[in-house]
Amino acid sequence: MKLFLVLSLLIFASCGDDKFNRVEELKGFRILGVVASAPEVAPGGASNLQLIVSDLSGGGRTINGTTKSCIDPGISLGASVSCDHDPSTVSGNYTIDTINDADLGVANLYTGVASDVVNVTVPATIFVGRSSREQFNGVGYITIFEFTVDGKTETAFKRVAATNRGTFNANPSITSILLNGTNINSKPNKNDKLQVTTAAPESYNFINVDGSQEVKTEELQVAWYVSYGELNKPKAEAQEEVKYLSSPPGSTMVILTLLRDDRGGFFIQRAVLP
Amino acid sequence: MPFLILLLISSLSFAQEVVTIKGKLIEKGTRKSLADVNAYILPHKLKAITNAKGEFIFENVPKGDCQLIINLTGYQKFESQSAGACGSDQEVDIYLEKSTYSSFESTVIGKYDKRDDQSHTLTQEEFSKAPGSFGGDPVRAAQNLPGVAQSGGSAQIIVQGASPDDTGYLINGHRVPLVFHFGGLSSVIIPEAVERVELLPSGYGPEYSRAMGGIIGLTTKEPKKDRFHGMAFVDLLNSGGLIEGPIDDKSTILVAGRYSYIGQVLKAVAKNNDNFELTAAPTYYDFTSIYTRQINEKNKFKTTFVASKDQLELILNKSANNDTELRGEFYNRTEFFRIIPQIVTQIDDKSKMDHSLAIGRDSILVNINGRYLDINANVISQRSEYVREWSPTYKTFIGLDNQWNQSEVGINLPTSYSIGGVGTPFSVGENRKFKTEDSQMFLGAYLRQEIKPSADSKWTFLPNLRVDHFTETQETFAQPRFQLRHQWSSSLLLRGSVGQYVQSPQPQESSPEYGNKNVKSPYAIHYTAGFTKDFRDGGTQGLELTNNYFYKELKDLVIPDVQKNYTNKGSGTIYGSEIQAKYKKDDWSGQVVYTYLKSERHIPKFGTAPSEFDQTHNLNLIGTLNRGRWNFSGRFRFVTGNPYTPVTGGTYDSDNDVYIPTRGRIYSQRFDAFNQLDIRIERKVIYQTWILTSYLDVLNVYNSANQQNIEYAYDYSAKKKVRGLPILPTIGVKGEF
Repeated sequence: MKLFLVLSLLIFASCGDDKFNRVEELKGFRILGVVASAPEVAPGGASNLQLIVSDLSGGGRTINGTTKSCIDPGISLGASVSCDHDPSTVSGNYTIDTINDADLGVANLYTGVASDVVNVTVPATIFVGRSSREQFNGVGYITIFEFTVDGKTETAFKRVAATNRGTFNANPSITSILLNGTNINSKPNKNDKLQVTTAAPESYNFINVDGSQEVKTEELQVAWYVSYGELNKPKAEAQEEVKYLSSPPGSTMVILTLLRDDRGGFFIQRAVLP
Repeated sequence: MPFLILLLISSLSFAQEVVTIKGKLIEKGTRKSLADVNAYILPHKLKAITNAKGEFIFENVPKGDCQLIINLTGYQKFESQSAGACGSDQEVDIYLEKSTYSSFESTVIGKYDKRDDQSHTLTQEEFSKAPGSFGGDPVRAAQNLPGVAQSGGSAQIIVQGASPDDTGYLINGHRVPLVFHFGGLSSVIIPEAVERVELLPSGYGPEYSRAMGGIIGLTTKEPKKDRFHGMAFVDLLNSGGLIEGPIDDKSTILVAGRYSYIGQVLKAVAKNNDNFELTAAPTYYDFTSIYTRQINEKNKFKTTFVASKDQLELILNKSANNDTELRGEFYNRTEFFRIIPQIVTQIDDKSKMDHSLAIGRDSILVNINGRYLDINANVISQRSEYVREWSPTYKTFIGLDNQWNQSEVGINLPTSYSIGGVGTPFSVGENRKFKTEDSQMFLGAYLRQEIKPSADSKWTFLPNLRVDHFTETQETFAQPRFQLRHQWSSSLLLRGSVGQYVQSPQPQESSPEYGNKNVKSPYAIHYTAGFTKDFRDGGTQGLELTNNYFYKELKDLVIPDVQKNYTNKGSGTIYGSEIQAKYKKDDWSGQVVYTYLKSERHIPKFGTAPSEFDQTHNLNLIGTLNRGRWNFSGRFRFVTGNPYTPVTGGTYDSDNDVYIPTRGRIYSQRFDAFNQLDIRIERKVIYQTWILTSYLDVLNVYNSANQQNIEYAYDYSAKKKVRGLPILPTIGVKGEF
């Protein structure tokens, strides 16, 4: 099976298809991420969640959706993304106003952080029945966002981890977006190089499945988005150069970068380039 | 008076002066001595017969014109020039050219005593000419056999709708991790070193176990004894060679190897590809050596050494569409070796002992951007069998089949939950990192009995028993296997069987860290019935028809479980029928191989659905034409498309920047039907002492866009078909002496 995987990788990696929307290209309504004020908390702790969205072709509108918060059913182990299993599910509504939300609006091409906030409080009893390893590494509490836009349902979720580790994960940060090595202030030309600079990743303790404790360093990953054009590596390492493969548009362009720290931490940096 | 006699003799000798003509008769190309062949000298009507070394001698041949004639069936007629041919004593080597040559002429296939009625066997003569076999690869040729599924670019064999993990791979009866190199292109032993490939799809005897599905086994040949022979080949994918012959009058040796440069081809393809770069060309090689020694009249020793390695390294510049973690460095290495000593003792004409051992090491490393699977295992397996024919009506086979694995496993991988072929993305799974050292014993013993009610009875009953013990799961299984044979007439054989087949869970399933240590061994009950009718009336031409029916119940199947990783809650059924019709007439031969099957699995909460390997109709049409030095063969395949589970959408996982697919009804849709034509054209040039063969092998002649998979957009909002191999021509040359 492993060899078949190799072949599959070769096949899939080598077969770009123009028919598919490119992952980095911003067009219709899309949830790009969910940022939590506190990606990790102690049981009973709270965190505020906000959506990062793009609705470039929406032309400015209000989009209403729902939220559900519950204990992670075990998504990483194969469970469906659902709160049906948890009788203590907390339901709510979420509204995105792409015109009037402070970070959205036409000037930002309707791309940025929505103003509405979901305040999530992780149940104090979340550790019941959990192993000491799970309690240390974190037990997930998920919030599912669901919107129906243009007849299509968009669903996304975010985990807030409850842990007894003592020191909690802080969100990572991008210090700047660079175009050919300098702070970006103009649209990239074809084959220009884009890059972000970030704060140093954190180190943290982790208990492996065999009980051994390991000091791990966060692996920072950057997701790149553009309102126009194509990138050679839409998903990149933190310091990795990304090439812009298109000629720039005549109109305003947005380049959005989302930094993840591989344990729920999140940061958004946007450049609006007239 | 004495003077007169002397004068008479003297005058006679002057009147009839004679010469001696002697020589050696040799098969052209192979240098095989031709024994017991009549040679004539005309017009004197003299006759000589060649001895075992092909030598002949004509003495007292009248001096002058004559003609030496040799007319042997299956060979081109030899006629020497007549003018002055017998003018003096002569010693000549005569090379007779055969009418047709098989692929590897220096090989003699020993008569194989087929033990199991349920088995399908291909000898070297058969698999070497098989179309679509990339120059006679035995395992690829085995894919022409009934019940073997079309498996695309997979290196695994799917037998009668079973999972590839349910198939056991053997070399000389001993387990090996794989029989195919990278992408299923060729088997791990060079074809010319293989005597036969045997497929046991269902209902087989007690000799083998630990495979709920089928068994596919390669048996290495015995090196040639008469003289040293050699072979070398080169084609677009790989090159290799073999040398074999006697060391002394009791010992023989064979050494063979092959190296593939497919990586250079892929590297050229990937040169200008922005999506990935090959840092080390993918490659494979294998090495085989065989040594035999006839120790004495009763004892024969044979050692086979097999080593195989596949390696690939590349960098994926761009992450996979549906999995952001699948990017960066990708490295895969799979290697193993086995040394298999075997001693066969013919105790007397009624009993025989066969002992063999396999000592080796398996090593698999997969590294995906720092996530890895690293398995290193020392393996020792042992087989012993005592065969005794107690009477014309009763024969027993008592055997042991044991294996010991001592493994070191290092894992740093996310958990992988997959139902219906739709799984949790690599990016989402919970990462598990650990290292274990473990040893497992697989102990097996069996009793096979062949009982006839009377010496002339047409019935044979085979009440067999196999007992297995797995230390890993601490389980012991007594598996009764009953077979029945009825020789209805000299040309019609009826057979049936019922038996239990158990296999231990896969290592990842029973791993305490990655799976569930309480998982037990799944098992299957096989029921088979069938017949073989030979319409050839004892000859070699005509029709031979085989028809089999099979039904398999699969129990305690290991399935993924969200809470426990794995449980034994799965079950399944497989049933179907196979027909193989072989027809041979003159220089034509053809086969129709058709399998109909239903393979279903039941998974709680997901219901009953076709299995991933349910290919309802599988039709192979195979034809071969030998015309002089030319050989043409072709294979057309039509196979129902594999079922797949549609993905109906995706939920965005904000933390891992990936969409988690939403599974539709499992295996509710199918890929397009597979159809493909493969051809092989071979041309031999026969020189006095060697043969040069050039060949063209074309896979997928009309470039059928056969669907092998589905690729989805990053958010599963769109999909497209992924096609299998396009037209793939391979040319090559092979020389043999």
